[in-house]
Amino acid sequence: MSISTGNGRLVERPEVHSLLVSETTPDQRVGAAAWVDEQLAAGAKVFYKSRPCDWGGDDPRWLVGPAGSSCARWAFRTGQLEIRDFAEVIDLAGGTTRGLRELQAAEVARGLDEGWPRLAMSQESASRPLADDAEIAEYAEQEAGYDELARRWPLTTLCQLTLAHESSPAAWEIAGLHSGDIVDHQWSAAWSDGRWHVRGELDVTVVGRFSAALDGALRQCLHSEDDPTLRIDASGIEFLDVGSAQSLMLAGYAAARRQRIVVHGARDSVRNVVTAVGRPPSLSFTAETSVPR
Amino acid sequence: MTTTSWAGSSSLEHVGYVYDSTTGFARGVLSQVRAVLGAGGQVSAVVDPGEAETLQDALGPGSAITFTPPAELEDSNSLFFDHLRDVARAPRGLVLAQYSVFGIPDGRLRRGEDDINRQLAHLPVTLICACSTTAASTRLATAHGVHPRLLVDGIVRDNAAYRPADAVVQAGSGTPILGLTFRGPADLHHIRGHVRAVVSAAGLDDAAVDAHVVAVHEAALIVANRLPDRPGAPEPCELDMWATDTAITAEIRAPRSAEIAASSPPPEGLEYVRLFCWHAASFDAAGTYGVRVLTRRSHPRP
Repeated sequence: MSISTGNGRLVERPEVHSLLVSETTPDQRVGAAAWVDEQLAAGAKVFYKSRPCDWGGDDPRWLVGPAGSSCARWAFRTGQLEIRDFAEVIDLAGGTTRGLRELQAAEVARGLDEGWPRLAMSQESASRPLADDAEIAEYAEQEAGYDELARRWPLTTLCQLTLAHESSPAAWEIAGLHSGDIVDHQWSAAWSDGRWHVRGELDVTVVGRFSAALDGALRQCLHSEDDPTLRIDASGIEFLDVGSAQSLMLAGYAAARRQRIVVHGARDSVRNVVTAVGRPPSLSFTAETSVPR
Repeated sequence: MTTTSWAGSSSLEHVGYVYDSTTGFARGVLSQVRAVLGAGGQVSAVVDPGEAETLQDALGPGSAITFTPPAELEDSNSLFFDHLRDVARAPRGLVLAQYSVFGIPDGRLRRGEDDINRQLAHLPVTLICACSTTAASTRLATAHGVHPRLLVDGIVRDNAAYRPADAVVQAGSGTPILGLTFRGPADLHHIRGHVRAVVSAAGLDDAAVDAHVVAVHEAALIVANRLPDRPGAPEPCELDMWATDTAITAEIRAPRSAEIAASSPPPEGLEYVRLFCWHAASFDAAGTYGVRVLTRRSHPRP
């Protein structure tokens, strides 16, 4: 599976719960439409949740309008693609996370009953403030619901973060909760073989989300039962600027006492920037890139 | 040139000293301190309590060394300069200043060090500035960049990494290899690609290409961050690069924001730019603010 980042770049994704970050609504639509087309072509039934007009979405059914694809329009007519806007979803779910999870489970059950071999869900940026711990916990529970469904059923989920619609704190929380699989303009990250594979170019335009995702990856490792070390496969990092290196340095200082960060396979250029900025004792480099057995 | 004594010198000796531990600190400077005290000169140490204790123990009771509280000197450069003048009495005195005791940002420290070189060059005093190997990389870069000489293994040597404040990076000489306009950080992804392509074609080796790309990126960020804050599209920034047989020069410039005075101190980020090139300097002229980056070829072109 691949995700278009909206700037013409395709990123190969093996994961089932991803976050697509876009700067603007037009960028978001390019990426989302390409993902939906791919799911439809793979034979999946797609459940798409869009922003209503009064949330800054000019047409909740843009996907099957002129901005969408003929494939999506055909799938909408045949029932392979279902679109609901957030107002309708909130109404059906009773405005609760539990209600939302029940709605999603019902959609999965219905899709399977209809005989679809695969299912896919995506939802546009929801403009949740995520300003306090209780709301962040609710959001985390909602996201965990997708993972739970994916463990039981052949479900792929694409969450969307459109920066034009979200506050900086919300973008931080959303990126942190999706550290497992994030596609953000010129960089991406995903877990594979026990390592956090980071690819692309990390600079000032993405450093906030990179820091958030790095924080999320550290937290995920901390909950590991055996070794809490965060192993970053950096062989795919093509550029790292000073601000991004500082994020890595600060993550090293902020990591829990028993936690370490090991950076695997970094290019000399990446290593040099980190070394120049400052490498905390908890952060080390190794040339080794293969996964130990 | 190397030396172990400044007895014959009648001007400022501004020496950098990088040490790795408290005991290493004292061991490295002890012979210099003893030599000055032995000649009847004044020694003032502006150091942390740990280093003060180690020095005092090493010199023994009754030593004439003076420990000057950093708080008496750190409020302004002029207080520190006055202290240097006080110590600069015959016979030649020594001030031992430890970076870590001064709670000032890198930009101000760099400016103060440059001012010492410029304004106090005639002063018959020795100033040893000590920086720990565990200091931030930018502070270590300052220690290496502002001192004409370094104290290494008890011996003072000429410092090849010294970059005088008046070593202005000249732009416009050589063959133009790039001229671009960009409108802010979002364009830097593309700018980096162009810079990489032209400096590779200009013959820099891979490591120098990587470092130059980082230096230009960070310099461009400094300039973009100083753009006037106006509604609408931001003012364009301009990037020009030139190549000679010995170096590659980049100049990034943009209109200066009215809120930023021409006399305002150099931005902190310049210290980071300097980590990745031979020299970098900011300039401010006729309402234009800019940064120039110079990368020297490791092997000059024949």
